[in-house]
Amino acid sequence: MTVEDIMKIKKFSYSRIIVKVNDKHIEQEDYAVTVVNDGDDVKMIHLLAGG
Amino acid sequence: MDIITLKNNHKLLKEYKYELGKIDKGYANRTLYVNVSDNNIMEKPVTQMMKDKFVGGKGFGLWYLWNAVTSETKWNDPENEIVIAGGPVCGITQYAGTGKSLVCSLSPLTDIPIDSNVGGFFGPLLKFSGFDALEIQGKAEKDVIVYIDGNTGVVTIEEAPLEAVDGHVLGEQLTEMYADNEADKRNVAVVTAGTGAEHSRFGLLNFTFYDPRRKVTRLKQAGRGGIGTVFRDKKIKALIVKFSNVKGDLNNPFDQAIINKTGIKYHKEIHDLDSKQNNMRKIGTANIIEVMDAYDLLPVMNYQYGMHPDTQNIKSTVFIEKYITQGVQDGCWYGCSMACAKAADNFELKTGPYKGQKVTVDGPEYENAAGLGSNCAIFDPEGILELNFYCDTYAIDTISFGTATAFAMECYERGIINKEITGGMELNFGNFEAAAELLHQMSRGEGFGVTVGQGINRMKKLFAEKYGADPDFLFDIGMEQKGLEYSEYGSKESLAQQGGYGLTNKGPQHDEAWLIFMDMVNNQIPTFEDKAEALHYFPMFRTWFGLYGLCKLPWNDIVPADNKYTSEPAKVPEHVQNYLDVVYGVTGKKLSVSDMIKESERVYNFQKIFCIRMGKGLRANDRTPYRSMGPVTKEEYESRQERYDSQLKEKVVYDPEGKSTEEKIAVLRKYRENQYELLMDAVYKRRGWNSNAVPKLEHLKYLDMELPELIEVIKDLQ
Repeated sequence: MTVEDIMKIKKFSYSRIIVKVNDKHIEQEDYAVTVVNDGDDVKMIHLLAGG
Repeated sequence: MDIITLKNNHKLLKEYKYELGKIDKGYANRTLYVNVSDNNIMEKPVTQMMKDKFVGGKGFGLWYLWNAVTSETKWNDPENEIVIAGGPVCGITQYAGTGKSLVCSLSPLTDIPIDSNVGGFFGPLLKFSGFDALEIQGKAEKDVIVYIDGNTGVVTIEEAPLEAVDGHVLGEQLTEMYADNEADKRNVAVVTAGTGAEHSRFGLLNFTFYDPRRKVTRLKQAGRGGIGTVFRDKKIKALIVKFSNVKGDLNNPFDQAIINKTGIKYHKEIHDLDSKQNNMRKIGTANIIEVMDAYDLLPVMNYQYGMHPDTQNIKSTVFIEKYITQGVQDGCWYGCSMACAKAADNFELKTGPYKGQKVTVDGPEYENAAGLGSNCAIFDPEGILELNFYCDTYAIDTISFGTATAFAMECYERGIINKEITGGMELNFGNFEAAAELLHQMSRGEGFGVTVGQGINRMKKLFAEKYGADPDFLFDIGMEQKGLEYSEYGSKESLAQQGGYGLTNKGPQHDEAWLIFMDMVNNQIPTFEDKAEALHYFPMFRTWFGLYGLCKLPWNDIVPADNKYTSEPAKVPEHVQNYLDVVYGVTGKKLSVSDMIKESERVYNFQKIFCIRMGKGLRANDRTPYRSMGPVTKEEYESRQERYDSQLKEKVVYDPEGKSTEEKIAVLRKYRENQYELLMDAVYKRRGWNSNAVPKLEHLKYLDMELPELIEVIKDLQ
């Protein structure tokens, strides 16, 4: 499963999301090719702090 | 009626001449006091104590208000004040969002101090005219205006019988009246209310700025808490300030170069990144309408739900493509490259006294689209724009109106009220005509609109006492706390945001803390201690904007390209440093982040004790309606049954299998209400308060705020 797959499943559509896999930043252009394995630490941080 | 006739009918009540001054490092070092009962006008010096403990802006406003009132003062007593103050940074033109005014008063909705921030030119021009704040006290016998001529040093109070009351007309009339010519209109700023403020408790203040490209007077709103209601109760029709020759260095800053450098860096970010991030320059805050819907956070039908298929009809691109004029400099003060004060031009009104006229609608901001739109199930962009326009010109707070109307609509649909009570109005969700008629009734002071205009807190009492409604159910679905209506975000799934709304000083407005994504989506603050830290840092950090005359939006509605690599991206560390640099540049004060938080804490705790002094501010007042915490009704629960059932299993260790929805609601409710109690304990502790939400005396000592009058209020509550 890739980062992009996870985002689709989670329905994460916001434009400013920071993705880290095992503390490594994943750039947006790499979402489709970055594979996430069982046990990986995945963080998807939405940078939205309201009006 | 022509402008000359209007002006010729003014009757001069008082003229006061003053020496023009020079601003020193962001401070004019004096304030202006105007009493419209006895027409007394005087200047007051800004003391070092005021600067040290209250900084400016909201701090000055609360300090003056404290000294003006007693614990017995009501919002409509003559001694209640309206205080307008910018702050030491207010009026610079090199950084975005530096023209804000903070307005403070005792609120007709909450009976405690309210503060509301607003753009437009009044705050900066007031300072350049010689005053860090304007205090208005008293009650006039007839409608008056207060005019400050900052070019010649004259303040007048004049009876003004013939001008309009509604904001969009009065703003134009007075801008025309006091400007020497078209170019001079940019030098005139007007504060008005509107006819709706005369008949509701959530009246707002409109602050103008002249838009030379559109050739219209634009309106920005100090929306929350009913300050416009106080304004009209004092029979003030308008405040006007005129000052020519605005320049970038009028604050006589300590170090202009660092301000310039910081501003240029920021403007480049906006230029390069806004279109890739939030599109603030195209649509302003309304960019998040569809985002909130996608994450089940958009208030739908009085906060029952968080999304709706028809949201696509009111998503931001609809407004961008069809209504909002693009490519126009929409900053509400000079130098704001974020330029988010969007407007729809040539919008033809379909209802009300201005029906058929083509007007400029200032908006919609996100809160308007959500409050007037989805929360009332009005998924019609033109309906939202029309309600937005009438709210502004009548001086009705869009947030309180939207939330109160949504509440009334739910009561109607549930049979708690009926057509007989509404005066024949079918107040179903989605009925734009009914919502518009409520507004027009508020303007005229008649019908069920006046009832809705009293706010949810008073509607709840009325519906229970007069119409036999169940007060507990009304408490659960009436989205108000401390008397103030909730702003437009669903908080059911974020405990931290329940606190972000519930543990505020003035009531549930999101300007203190917006933690939903950090908490619910990102899971960055999983423990009570984490949430408490966030509910300490962010409210204090955000309070700080209001002390200096700053807008919050440029802080995090755009972020540097490398922000994601910082240790705390949610705080946007580079922008925090920008603010510290700008404050140093203006005032010469070298602040650290902890100094910044401490400055806010002083004012925040002062406001907290002010609330206690006025009879609120304790733990009991932080209780919130259950709809802000979880599903009240069967249909709410069943619409998200999978989510709630799984939470019961995982968090409550309760097997939902075979249980009725009512049983499950009760178990979930007990759990969530207990979580909120635990959150209160953690937050109070982090803020230096006792378990009753009262600041501890040692905390006041830490803050250097051991003022005798504060200790007197809280010493017996330790």
